[in-house]
Amino acid sequence: MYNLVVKDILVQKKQFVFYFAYILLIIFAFQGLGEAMFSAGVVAFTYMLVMTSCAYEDKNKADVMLNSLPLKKSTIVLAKYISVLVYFILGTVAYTILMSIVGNMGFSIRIYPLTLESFCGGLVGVSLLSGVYLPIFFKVGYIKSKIFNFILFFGFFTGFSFLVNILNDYQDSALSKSIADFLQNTGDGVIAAIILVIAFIFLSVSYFISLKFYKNREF
Amino acid sequence: MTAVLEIKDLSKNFKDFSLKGINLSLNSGYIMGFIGPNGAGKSTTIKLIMNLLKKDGGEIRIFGMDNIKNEQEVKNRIGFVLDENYFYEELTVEEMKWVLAAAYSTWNEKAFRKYIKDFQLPPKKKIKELSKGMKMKFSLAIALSHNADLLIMDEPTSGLDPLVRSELLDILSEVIQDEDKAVFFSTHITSDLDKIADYITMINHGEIILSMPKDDILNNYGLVKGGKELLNTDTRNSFVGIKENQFGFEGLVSDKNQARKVLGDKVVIEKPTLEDVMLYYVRRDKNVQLGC
Repeated sequence: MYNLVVKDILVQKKQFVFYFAYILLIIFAFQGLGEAMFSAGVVAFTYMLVMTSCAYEDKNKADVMLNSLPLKKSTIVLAKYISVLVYFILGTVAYTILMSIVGNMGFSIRIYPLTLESFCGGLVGVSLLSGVYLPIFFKVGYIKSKIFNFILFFGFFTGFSFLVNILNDYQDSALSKSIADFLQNTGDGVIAAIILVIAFIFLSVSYFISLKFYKNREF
Repeated sequence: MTAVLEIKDLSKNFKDFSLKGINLSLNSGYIMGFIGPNGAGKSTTIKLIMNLLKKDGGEIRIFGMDNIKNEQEVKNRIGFVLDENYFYEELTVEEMKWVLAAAYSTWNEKAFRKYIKDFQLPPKKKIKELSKGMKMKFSLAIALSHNADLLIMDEPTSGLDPLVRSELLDILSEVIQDEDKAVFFSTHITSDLDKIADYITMINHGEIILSMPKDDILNNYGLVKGGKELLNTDTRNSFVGIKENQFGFEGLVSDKNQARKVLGDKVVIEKPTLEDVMLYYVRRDKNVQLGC
């Protein structure tokens, strides 16, 4: 398992400099995002890594090789999900380091350090995108999943702003008020824990769907 | 003795091709050549053995165990070599080895070191920078470095130059000196098997045409040449296939002694190569009049 996770990083080690540059670009170019800067940066960073690792699986027809090894299919699938969390942690560390470097270099930009809210936002974003994409990848492979990926990625951002608009429109409704009340009366730590649990459940369900698809694949 | 590999009534249906209930058996200490033209069902059979494809019927037992129920245990004892590269081309030889070695509980690092030295494989070089021959040697080094008892090779010599092919065959001959090991080797280059195979199994259109010791084929089969006047309904029936031209005929018989009795001294009977045997079986419905 550990080797499969590291392998996904090794195959794209040359691209890492671009991934880090992308985080820098977000720090400089998306000042308007405010505290959501981290969430947007880490979601993009993680998603690029997931997509590239999946692309290399297809390019090298690695499923044939992986499934000729004495590995359970569940191990192969789980490794991809563990990779998602590893990329998220890598992105978080990279953002924190880059933000502190940029902050200390005296650029005339606003600094948005990592907050609990943005961390949770990023985790939810990564879980949603990967949790939806990976079952499609395990069902049809990378090439065929590209069209879904396109829809998913743009659907995610447009869907997010659509959701925000709806919440704004209905901010006086009973449901919105009760959600707002709940959020105001609950500690940040508890909300973060709830979000973590929801993300974990979502990824777990996604994992079992992926495994079911992968077990039915032929190579 | 328990067969290392035993296949019973194995079937698999695709839209345009079917594997029709094939049977074969391989014991330890032997090399079985699995021959047939492209598209005959060799790779399908091998993928079914490795559970890369799902069978529609039949049974595959490896080391006496079901290949699906005991999948991990069985695969831990199989060295698998494919006709093309399925490694991550972006990784170096050393990195790729590291990824693969962790999967095997019986990985032998010392053996791997010896093989990469013998095969002159550069550990720091990326897989994509290796020649086809080097990739094949790397594949073989991996297959031989985890004490596998069964080597399954799908067209390993395809696309290799004669020198590397010959080296690979020498290595296999060495491997089989250990009587606990067996090799199942698919190829359409039958000359590879002249040197090393103990058994030949021939497949065409998804059916096993013959499966027997190589020496029995070479000793019993005969390539018969003679005048067309010798061919009549009775004599034709003793041929696997016949090729006729304006001067005479050439045909393959499965029992050259019987053919000698039937056709007498008016024909020349030569020892066939495996290629002759394959061609006559494969082409008999095309340019050869059907015998039995």
